[in-house]
Amino acid sequence: MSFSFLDMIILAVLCLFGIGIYALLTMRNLIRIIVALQLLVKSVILFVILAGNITGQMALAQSMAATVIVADTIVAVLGMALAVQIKRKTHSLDTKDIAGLRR
Amino acid sequence: MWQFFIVLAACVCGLQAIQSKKLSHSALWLAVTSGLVSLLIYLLGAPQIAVIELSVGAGVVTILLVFAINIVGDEQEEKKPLVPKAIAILVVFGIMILIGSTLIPVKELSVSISETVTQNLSEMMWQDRFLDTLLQIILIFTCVLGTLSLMEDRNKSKEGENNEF
Amino acid sequence: MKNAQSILILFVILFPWLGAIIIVAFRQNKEKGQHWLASAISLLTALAAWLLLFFNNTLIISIPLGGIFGNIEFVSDGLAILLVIIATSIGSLAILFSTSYMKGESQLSRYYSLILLFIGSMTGLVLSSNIFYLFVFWEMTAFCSYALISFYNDDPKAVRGGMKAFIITQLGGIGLLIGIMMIYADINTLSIPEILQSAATLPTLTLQIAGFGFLVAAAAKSAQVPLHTWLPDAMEAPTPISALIHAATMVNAGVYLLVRFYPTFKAVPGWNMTIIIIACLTSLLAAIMASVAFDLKRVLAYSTISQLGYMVYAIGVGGLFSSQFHLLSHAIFKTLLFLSAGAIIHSLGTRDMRLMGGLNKKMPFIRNVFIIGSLSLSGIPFLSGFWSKESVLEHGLEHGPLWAYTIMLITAGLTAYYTIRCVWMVFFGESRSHMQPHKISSMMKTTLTPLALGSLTTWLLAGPLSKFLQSSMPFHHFHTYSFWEPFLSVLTNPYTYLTLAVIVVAIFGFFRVKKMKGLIHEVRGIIGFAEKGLGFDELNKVFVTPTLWLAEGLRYTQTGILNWNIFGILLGLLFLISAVLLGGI
Repeated sequence: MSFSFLDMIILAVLCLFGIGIYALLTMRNLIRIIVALQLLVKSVILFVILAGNITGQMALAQSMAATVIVADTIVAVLGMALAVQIKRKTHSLDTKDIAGLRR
Repeated sequence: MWQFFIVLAACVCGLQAIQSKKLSHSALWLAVTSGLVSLLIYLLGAPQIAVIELSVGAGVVTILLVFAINIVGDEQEEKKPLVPKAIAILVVFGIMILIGSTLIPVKELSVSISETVTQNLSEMMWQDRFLDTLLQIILIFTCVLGTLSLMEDRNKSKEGENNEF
Repeated sequence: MKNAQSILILFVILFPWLGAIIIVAFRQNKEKGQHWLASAISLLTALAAWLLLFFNNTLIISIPLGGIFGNIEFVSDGLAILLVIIATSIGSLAILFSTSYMKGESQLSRYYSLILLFIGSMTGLVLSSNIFYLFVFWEMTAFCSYALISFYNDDPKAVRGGMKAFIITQLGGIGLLIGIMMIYADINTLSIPEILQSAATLPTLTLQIAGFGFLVAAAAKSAQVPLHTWLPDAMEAPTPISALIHAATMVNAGVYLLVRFYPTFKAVPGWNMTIIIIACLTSLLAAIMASVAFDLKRVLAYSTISQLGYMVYAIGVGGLFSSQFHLLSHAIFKTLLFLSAGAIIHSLGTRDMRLMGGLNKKMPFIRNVFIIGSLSLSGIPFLSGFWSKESVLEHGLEHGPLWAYTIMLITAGLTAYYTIRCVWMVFFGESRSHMQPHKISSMMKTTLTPLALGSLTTWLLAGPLSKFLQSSMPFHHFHTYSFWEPFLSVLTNPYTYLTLAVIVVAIFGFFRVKKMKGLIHEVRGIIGFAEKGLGFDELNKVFVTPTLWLAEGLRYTQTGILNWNIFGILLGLLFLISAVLLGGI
């Protein structure tokens, strides 16, 4: 079976998505979760650009990808600020230790 | 065919990013993954986004991660995951297979690389999707203000006040 | 002209919400600022509501929200404006009263923002012309009621009362939702004028299910038997809240729902009779329970349930105008009674009437306004309660079954009995404890005075009110009266004097009750049973306890751990993708 470029990009998207989701499910450190989110969003950006390429509407796809990059960067920045504050307040970055609202 | 190796390298680097023991190594592997993904984006025919992705993903995010890891402390060990590994792998493969099967019709189409992308993009961003661009700028300002207020250390400011007397 | 009216309508709904946000956002440590901010906001809203009276046409505002959400529509017809004015005016009086009643309490920002949120939701409920958004506002008022009942959230009784009120009114909400869905499935529109217009074209099954669904919702919200048990327990709320929510506005939402949809359901077989049966049972049972209660606020709560039974009875026999007139006068005198009870409780520190007595000389102002309110409640001539109650009874005699009229007549007597018992135990006789009341603040007096004046004079509005209601609501049939007509018809009706005779007998009965010790000993068992709420509380435990047990059990799925939450999201994603693949959404 011959792999075209399309197949390889789809494979890349699926693999990166899968790695990101696996990390979100199993990692306990908040910073690692932020890294996993970044990987997840990279796969999505790749997929949007691929869709733009296939349908020929590259400009639309590029502006959408730009929006996604901005949003994801903001999420990462605020996530890190929150992680720093959590570390200051509860002295731990473990997801089990910060579930403090549960009675 | 050589594209296959770039794809493979991106996946391997992604895996290393989440799997490495030290957090700072994790950030570096993420930067490398960013670079490889931006190369793939360039090969698909979107040079501006490739540049943005490289500078943001491998630049800004990596620097911020390094700062954060510095403040928080580099944790070395990884404890047992709370969701059992078997369930996690099951869910992940389930989703990958399902999304893959949704994507099967896409294989009928072929990949083409189009020219004259530059002019269309700036026209698109500043006229057709002007509202979108404006909102993104506002969002960036909000994020900056939010981060500044979030990073405020209440204990330190109280200590500062007490020292005046 | 059109623009000013639509701005006023949106103002009346949105300004209290804006006020709620402002009070929470600018949370100050200065208590006075919060009091005055809340008072100013509510007074402005009341002013806007009164201004809405001067526009002659009914306006429909339609704001399209796109796609599946339909349009948010508001219509300002007579029924809506009546309830908007009641809600905002009594709301502002309650807030003014709270500035003195809640002096020194903590978390005032939470209190005032919830009251303002409630006022906005109530006005949105009555102004709404899209039945789905009516449901949304309905749920919002239920939430505000729960949050305000359990305001003192370190008191377990208050929290239990709030949960009970929430669960029972939510049961009613389910009935409302089922009715809405049935109607939407048949005629595919959510707009109320269209529903009223096409009432004849709906299939019988839809009308029956929707009619009884709406009836369940109204019974839950307006505390009719058997869903009435939440209202006495809701008296754990601060007294201005009891006055506003549980006497004058939220409990009227059920009556409003029935009146609004009356043309659609009046032809459903059995609907009218069910309403009459429920209303008569409610009035009688509540009056019996009020006659034996010792907690001052509980007596007033049972009294509210009983008077709501009158309003629902009026709807059942087709007297829509009588029910609205009784709603108006009841709102005023019940608020008066609750707020003066609040003043008494605040200055004495107790709610138990057995510990009061002899306040005749010590609190003359409160005694006067309380007596005015009680006279109006009992139906003593020439106060507004008399005119409205007689109007209801007359209409019931002409159009309803005789046994229902008899029950309501007996209830009128019982009303007089428990009212005078209440007044006697609180004010007259020897002082049963050594509690000394402190002076009433001038703000409380300022708030109580317009309510007392209203009780004395609101009956004059009967004629114009009827014309106002009829002229702006094309689908309903309200009886219209000229100015003097309602009073003449009441005075010349011989049955009015029958009612007065029953009331006089009841009042004498109270004074002779000490001589009837033997009789009381016989019925001692029934009295004990009535004090426990005639067994309805046990019935309600059947609903409330399993719900709470289920909620506790399901709490184990909320681990609070990030990874498990992500797992849940991914499961949802799996489900969605499979749905797309299998069905093609």
